Amino acid sequence: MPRRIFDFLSSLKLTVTCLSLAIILVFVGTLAQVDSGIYEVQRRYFQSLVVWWPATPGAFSLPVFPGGHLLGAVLLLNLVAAHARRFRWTWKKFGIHLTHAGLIILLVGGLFTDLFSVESFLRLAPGETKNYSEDPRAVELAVIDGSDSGFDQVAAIPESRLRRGGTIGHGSLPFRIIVRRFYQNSRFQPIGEAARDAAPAATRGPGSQIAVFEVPRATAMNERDLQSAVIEIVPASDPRQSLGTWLVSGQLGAPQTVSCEGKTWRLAMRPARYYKPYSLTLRKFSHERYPGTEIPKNFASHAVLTDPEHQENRDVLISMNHPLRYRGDTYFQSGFEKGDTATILQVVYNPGFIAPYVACAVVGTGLLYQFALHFAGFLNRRKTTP
Amino acid sequence: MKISRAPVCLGLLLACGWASGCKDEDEIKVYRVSKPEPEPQQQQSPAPANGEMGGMPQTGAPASADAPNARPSQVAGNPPPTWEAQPLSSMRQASFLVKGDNGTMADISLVSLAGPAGGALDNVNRWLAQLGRPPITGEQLSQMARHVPSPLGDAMVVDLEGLPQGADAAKDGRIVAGIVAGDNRTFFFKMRGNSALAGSQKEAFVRWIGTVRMAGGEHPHP
Repeated sequence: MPRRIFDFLSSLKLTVTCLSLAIILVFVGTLAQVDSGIYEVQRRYFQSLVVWWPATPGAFSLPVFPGGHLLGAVLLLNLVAAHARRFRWTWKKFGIHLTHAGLIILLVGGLFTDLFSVESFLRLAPGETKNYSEDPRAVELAVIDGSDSGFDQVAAIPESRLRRGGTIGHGSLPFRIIVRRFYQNSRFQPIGEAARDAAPAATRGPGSQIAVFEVPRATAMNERDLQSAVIEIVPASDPRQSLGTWLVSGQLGAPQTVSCEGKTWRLAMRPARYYKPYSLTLRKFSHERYPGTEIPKNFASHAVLTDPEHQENRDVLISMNHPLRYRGDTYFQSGFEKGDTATILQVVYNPGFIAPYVACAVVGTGLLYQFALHFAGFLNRRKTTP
Repeated sequence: MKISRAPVCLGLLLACGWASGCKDEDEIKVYRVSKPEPEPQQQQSPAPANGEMGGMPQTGAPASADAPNARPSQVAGNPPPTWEAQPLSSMRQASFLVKGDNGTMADISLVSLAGPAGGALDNVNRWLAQLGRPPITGEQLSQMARHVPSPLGDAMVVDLEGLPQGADAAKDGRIVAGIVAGDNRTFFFKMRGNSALAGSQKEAFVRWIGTVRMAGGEHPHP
């Protein structure tokens, strides 16, 4: 039985099947971008083990197709198994071994990047300092204890946890948060504007004057979902005594407050934040255009990098094709706001960024070696031929 | 090659599967951060001059969830003196009541929402539905709309008439509204009330739209 499994894993049929399925997956995923948008398609089709089909939307789903992670993993396994099966150490095949090793590094690096890389954005106005970047496509519910004069203690609840619903508790909070409803994309209307039967979303805060409606997910690249949630807060000591319900959303301006056991917390639904052990201050943003046109020639951010831990305090320049790399993060000059009022930097944390370079070098060396070997053999044969 | 390599391959498959599921996105993060410095606009934004955007509280206190009417407006403008300022709510950046003869009145508001907030056509059709009128097409909208420049951006102004069944004609029958679509925020100016009164206030309403700006010179696209 193990022999049959090994034969199956190392077979060329499996390679062809996986590649065919990958082609179908890419084709179907590309079409699905029309309705679901690129980010949702990436998550559902390519960054998953299986593609789920919602048989009953919101309740019951069926696995219908292998996802990108599964196909990638099986292809990797297939490559390793085939290589292990046919492996014979000779200098003649050294180039082929290197080429396969490079492909394995590429596949593992791709999986590693997919799993562990984080992409976010940093918006800075001149003179502004920030030590965090934000994910414009994901939100978090920040429960902030500002009772200390020097710092805020933040409990950040990720969007995925809010989407799952149920009761959320944490040792640092004396209350529990019950997610009554999560809206992936929502639209607000003042109660006076909405239909007569529309009910206020919540009992406390601005939500008591707002009706919330679920709307289809944003699919265009320049649109984003406006996530909202209705939460109920109950004291951990007495879960039967509700403190009320709140509507939390990035669409609301200032944070709301909730008081429990004599202390006050702020509630803020905001873009998910990634804090850094260092900060960037924007000194100046320059935006050059080609003379007589509005076509950008170059835009650059002159910033100050401050890192007390590493005793860094230096000027840095981030411009098109000249990113800043620091402590695992790479800052690309991504854009700017209208009127050049702020710079927008793309922040990429990718622990596997070196893998494609290594893979290309290894594959290139392998192919070069194999080519050189065959070429030398060809020349030798010509010499010996009368 | 010995068969013992099969378990190694199976182990690799399991490792891949484990790696796929090991990213814990549900984890609640708890951390301490230095208190943020006050926002520049909160420090610099002067209190609006008397009479400017009447009804706005003059304090700079942050909005409180439990006291929505205490929220300071983020906009400023020059409404006519005959409009009576009304308390603001968490949704209304400006609120006025204008009274006419024989108990007629019209309610005037400015609401801002994040994003496109449904778009112009959907909102105009929603207002038409409030007046008991059938929806219109995008082409019809572009024919009936008028464009007014304002510090917030180009305002598309529409004038809609209709009296829904059972409505009080002294307080309803006409909506004059303006929509300013920003990059990340949409502003809705709306006057709804008695048809004749709203008609007489229409030009003043349009002039007011042309004066509304972000308080303290703030960029209109937060």
